[in-house]
Amino acid sequence: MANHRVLVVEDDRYGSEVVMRMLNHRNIDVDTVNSAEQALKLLQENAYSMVISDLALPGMDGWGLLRAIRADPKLAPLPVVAITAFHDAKLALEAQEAGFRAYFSKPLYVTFVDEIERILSTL
Amino acid sequence: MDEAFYRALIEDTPTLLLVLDRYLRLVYANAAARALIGSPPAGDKSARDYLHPDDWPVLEERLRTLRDANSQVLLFFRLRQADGRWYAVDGSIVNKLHDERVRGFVIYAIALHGDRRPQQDLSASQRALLNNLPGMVYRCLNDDTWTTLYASDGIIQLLGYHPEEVTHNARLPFINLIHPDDRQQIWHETQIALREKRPYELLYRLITANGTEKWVWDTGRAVYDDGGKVVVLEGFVSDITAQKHMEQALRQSEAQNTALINALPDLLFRFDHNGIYLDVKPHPMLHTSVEHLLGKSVTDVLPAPVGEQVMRAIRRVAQHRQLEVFEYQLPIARSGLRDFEARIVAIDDQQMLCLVRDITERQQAEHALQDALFYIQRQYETSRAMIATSELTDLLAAFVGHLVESEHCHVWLLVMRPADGASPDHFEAIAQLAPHNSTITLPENGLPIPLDNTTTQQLLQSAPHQAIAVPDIDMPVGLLTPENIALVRQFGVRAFAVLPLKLHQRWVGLLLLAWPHPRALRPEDRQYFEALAPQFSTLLENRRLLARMETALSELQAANEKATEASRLKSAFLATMSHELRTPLNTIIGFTGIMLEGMAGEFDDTTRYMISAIYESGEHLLTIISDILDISRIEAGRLELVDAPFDLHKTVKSWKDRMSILAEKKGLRFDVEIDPVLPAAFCGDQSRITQIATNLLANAIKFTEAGSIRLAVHWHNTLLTIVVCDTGIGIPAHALAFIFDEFRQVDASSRRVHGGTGLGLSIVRRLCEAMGGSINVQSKVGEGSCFTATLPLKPCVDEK
Repeated sequence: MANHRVLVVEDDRYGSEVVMRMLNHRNIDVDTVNSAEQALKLLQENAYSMVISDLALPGMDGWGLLRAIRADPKLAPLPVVAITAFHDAKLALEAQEAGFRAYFSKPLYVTFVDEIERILSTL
Repeated sequence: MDEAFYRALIEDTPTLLLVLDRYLRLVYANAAARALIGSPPAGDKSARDYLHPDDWPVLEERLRTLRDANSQVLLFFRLRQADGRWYAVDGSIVNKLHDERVRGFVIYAIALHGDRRPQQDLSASQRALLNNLPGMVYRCLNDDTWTTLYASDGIIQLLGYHPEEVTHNARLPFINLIHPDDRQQIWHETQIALREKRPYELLYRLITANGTEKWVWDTGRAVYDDGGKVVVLEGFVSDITAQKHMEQALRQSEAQNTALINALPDLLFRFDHNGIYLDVKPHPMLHTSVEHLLGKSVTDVLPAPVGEQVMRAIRRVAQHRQLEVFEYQLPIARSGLRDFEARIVAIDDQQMLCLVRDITERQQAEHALQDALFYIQRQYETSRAMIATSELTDLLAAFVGHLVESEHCHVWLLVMRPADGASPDHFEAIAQLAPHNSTITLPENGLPIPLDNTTTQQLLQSAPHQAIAVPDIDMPVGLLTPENIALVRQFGVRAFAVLPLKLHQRWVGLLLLAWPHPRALRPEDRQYFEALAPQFSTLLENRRLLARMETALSELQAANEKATEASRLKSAFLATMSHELRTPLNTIIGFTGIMLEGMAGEFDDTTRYMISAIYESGEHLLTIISDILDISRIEAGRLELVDAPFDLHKTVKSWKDRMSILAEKKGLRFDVEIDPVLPAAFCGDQSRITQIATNLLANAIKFTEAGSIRLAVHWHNTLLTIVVCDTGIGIPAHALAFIFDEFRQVDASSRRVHGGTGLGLSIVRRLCEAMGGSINVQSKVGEGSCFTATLPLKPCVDEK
């Protein structure tokens, strides 16, 4: 699987690295930022296949980022995947309803990458 | 016979004979006439000088109209006697103007009080005249048969007899024609009239030829001789049978009317248009004689205002001829002031009838009824207002407001202080009503009546809801000490009343009424207070209880809110803690996972073992964190269940996929059994159902060293049954009671062998219960255990 570039938004440095390493191992390019504001800036500069974002972020949170992306006509079709350390079945449903393509609760297992690859393959 | 013969005859006849010429001058008077009026002067004296001035115009008029020769008129007139006195005569005047021998009017006159013998016969012309009269003219003797000398032809029509039949008793004496019952009566009446020398008027019955009765009216007079002895009777009989019948009928109806009038309880007056009493019916109610009233005016008899009122009514009736009804009051001796109702109605243009009835009893009854109605109405209105209103002041206004403005009454509602209801020593005003421009000044404590022990002790002894009134503090009843009376007077209070409000022998409060003027508690007020006081007390008590309940409720709510808030904070804290713990765990499990997957190069066995241990410990820690979070959520009642559609077949397959790996590791057989046909989608919390099933399965695998694990999933009639059986170590009977409690494991030491937080089964039970289901277990030590979770589950109704 080549030519996919994914933007990971995660304020926890190690958490960000876990995702990056898992995706890199499957030959997916990853850019990482630690805030939604930086993410929106990079999204304007580069073309990404997907955004993987933590829900709890300093400043604009993952929900806000999703709304900002959906509000921008150019970015609107971009798939956004949520990851969170909050473990709640209700939260998963809310994420789905809000428009996140997928929802993963931390800790992330290697099976997480399988799902990301599956989504990317449908694009 | 020669003229001298006639002349002598004329000259000497006792009949007065006068001759007037065409100029009505007296030209001849015979001896009889001359004896009366004196000798007339020669020829030129007017007859006028001999006649009464009142009679002259009539005579003159008659003579003027007497145009035909020999025509005749009968006339009554008075002649002037020589001595100046008047002499009444009945004259018959004949027109002889055209007779060459007379050329004038001849007057034959019979003296009515004269001293001449009456003529025995009537002239033919006189007879003709009389015969044409309706009724009968007669002349008869005053004897026991009324011997008839003359009867006019009228008798034919009147009685069916011919005049000849009765004249001179030819066939029938006249007495025989008179009704036997009346004979004596008319004889008697006639003789009295004759004795008094006046005309008579008789009413009696005659018998006709065919036997019927006729009522007649007989008017006549006697002709006397010089000695004053009756010579003949002359009179006129007219038929009044018809009138008599009418009169009889009238008399009958009059009798009925009289009976009716007498039966009337009313006073009956007849007034003329000026309010003069014309007639008064005697009546026991009339405290004055009838004679005293007659001829007087109502304004003279009745006291001024009433007299004027009656007079105004009389004037209105006179003007409009319409019935007037009005009421008035009149002081009556020995009865006091009485109420009367008068009805005045016009009889004709001149008079009116007035009926007066004593309506005092009726008025009293009406007033009593009105009072009773008013009382009931007031009670009803007050009761209704009491139910409708919740404001204490409004409540008070509904109860006693009617006294406030109308009587300048002050009202205080007092409650016990403290509100223990045990003794009425201390009161506290909680509501009050005062009239505008009040003259009662209030002391600092707000009460103008010192409710000290003397007062309150008396109240304590009083029956509940029995009002105690002091109509005038200057006439104390011992409710106040002399010092207090002075004090109360100083505040401007002259009268007061207290209404103790008790409920089931318990003091609720006190109603205090104070007036700036002496005022007795009227019986109706007392009745009203005592009727409504229990309601009022109940209302007050209910208010007090309600207030207490509301306080308790709000305290409870505050406590509950505080608890809820604490619980929410705890949950939020745990959620945050869970998040904070999971973040480093993500690094631990993430990186070790990457290393174990070989994404970060190869490691030797020892290193790999240690990485694996870190990974598994991370996993364990994660389970503990999840369980603690779940338990705390459930305990805080903040477990939120999701109601979303899911596929049960797929869900069970995911359990099998995950759990078969663990079972395989321990060499256990894993059998899964599920209904082949199920609804396409169920609605519920898929992840929580999964948690229940995987928890049970993990436990079963954990505690089973050999044999098999069996999962059976059935759905029937809205109930999902998940059965997890193992061939493990089993649970001792004593432990079955607590295995679903938190932090309890069968053997505390087993935690070290089997791990786990001791929260797993507790979470399973609580999740089952939260979903409205249940869980139970059957187990035998050494043989295995069987857990059965029963959960309500409904297929999704496709909204699209």
